[in-house]
Amino acid sequence: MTLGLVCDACDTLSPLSATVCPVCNAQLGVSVPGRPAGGVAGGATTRPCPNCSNEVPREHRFCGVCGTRVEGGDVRTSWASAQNARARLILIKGEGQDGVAFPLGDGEHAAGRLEGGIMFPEDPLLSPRHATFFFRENKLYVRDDASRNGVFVRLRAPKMFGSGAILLAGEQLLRIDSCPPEEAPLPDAEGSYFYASPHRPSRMALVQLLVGGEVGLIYRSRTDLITIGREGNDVNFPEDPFISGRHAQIVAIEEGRFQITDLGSKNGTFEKVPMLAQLLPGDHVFLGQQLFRVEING
Amino acid sequence: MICRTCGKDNQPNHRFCQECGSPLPVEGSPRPRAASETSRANVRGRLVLVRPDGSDGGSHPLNEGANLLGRGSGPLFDADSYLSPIHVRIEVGTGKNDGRCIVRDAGSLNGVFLKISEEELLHDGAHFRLGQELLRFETLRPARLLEDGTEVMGSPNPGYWGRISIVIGRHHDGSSFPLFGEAVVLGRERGDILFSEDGYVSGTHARVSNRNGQAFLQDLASSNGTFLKIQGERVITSGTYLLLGQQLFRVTLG
Repeated sequence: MTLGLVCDACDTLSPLSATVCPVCNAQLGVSVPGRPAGGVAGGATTRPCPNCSNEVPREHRFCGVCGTRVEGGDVRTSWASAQNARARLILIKGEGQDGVAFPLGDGEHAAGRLEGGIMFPEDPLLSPRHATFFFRENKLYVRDDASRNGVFVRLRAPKMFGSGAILLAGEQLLRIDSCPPEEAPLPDAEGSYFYASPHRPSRMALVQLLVGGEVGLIYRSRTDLITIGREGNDVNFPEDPFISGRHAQIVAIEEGRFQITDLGSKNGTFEKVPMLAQLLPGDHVFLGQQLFRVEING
Repeated sequence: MICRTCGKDNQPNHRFCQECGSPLPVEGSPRPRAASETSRANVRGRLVLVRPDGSDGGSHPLNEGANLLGRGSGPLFDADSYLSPIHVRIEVGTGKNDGRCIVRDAGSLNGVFLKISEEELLHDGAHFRLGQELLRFETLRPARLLEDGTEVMGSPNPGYWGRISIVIGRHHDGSSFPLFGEAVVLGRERGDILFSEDGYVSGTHARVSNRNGQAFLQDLASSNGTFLKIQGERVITSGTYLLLGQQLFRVTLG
């Protein structure tokens, strides 16, 4: 094995005494931060990540691939190594390829755009501190830390919700509102009645929430059922590539209570968790633009 | 206290108008009517009631100057509970303003609607009527970024430039339709937004279009017309139709 200096720009190996690369004239030196020097120059500049074995440069404190802290040990962000993780969050990207795994052990695991071990600095839909994963009495929970956009869990079975429930189906963010019962119109102080469109009684409204916060479509149903999908439903989103032909349905059960059922869609229907939700093995969790699958040991 | 005959503003304790001598209503007492009508000779036009079958019903004289009309203005109006007691101000000009008529909403609950004959600009919050439907147009604001740098998640926005909501109550909206593309057609049978149960809406009734960041409303030769709620003052010509409360009127001058 030859000891020398590897040029960061062109990978040329030069003697230890060199200060400038003979090929491309770039500065040479062990103190230049950035790219790992590669195996040829010897092990002084990187060390392997304890979780995924990626070569982490000495100057870095977290592994660039899986986010595990590699230097020191901070008791507050209790990072588990792969061996004693009680659960893992597998990041699913795009077409469901398994990506990076985040081990979850005892203690709290924070997720967000700027904070936590589960950090995605490039995701503008994540709040700086977005959510926390933790175990309590042998159950895994996710807590929404007052994030702007919320934490979503995929529906495993038909579920009951109250008014204001928020769902994700395909790319659509939708809210179900129960509509106030018909009130007898009253005249104003001068005895005049307000003129309005004749409307038929309806129990619920489906509200489309647009990126940026505006409201898009509002569909007021006249029956107790609303179907959602790409085509042929009460509410259709033909331009949405992630929504299935028949994706989900909402049934008004009683005043202010609805049952939401996924109709076997490919990508699932997600509910926004109110504050805290228990996660079971195989659950899918969505926050910001990140979709995870939950694996729990034992 | 505004005189209902000539529009002059009087002191609250007066019992007769200082301008035209008509009796002023006492607070809470039924309004005396009719006598003031014949005391002025300078009638410059008429507000003609148009019956649902299209024929002319009764009419109300429009005097030179300001005319304040509403539910308290006589038998033509008093059965319509969608009219406010003082609903509309119609000012008829003379002399160099002869033939010029200015309409203004007099603070009514439901507004004064003008039947449009050409394309009209739609402002944010504008109301218009098609058949029995009361609709409100709104522009859509651009996406906002929060102070902590987080973007607000939601359904993709393909470039919606506005929204039309059905107004079903003073503080309640029904369905709402985001607007996309060059124009959106409203009608009973054909179009992007359908009102299939309203027999007063034509098959193809009106169009809302987007040009250079502004929205426009146009009637598509509908049977019953498209009516835009006026904001501020409108200058109108003889033959213009106004929807006041639940009744249709035609303004004739001269």
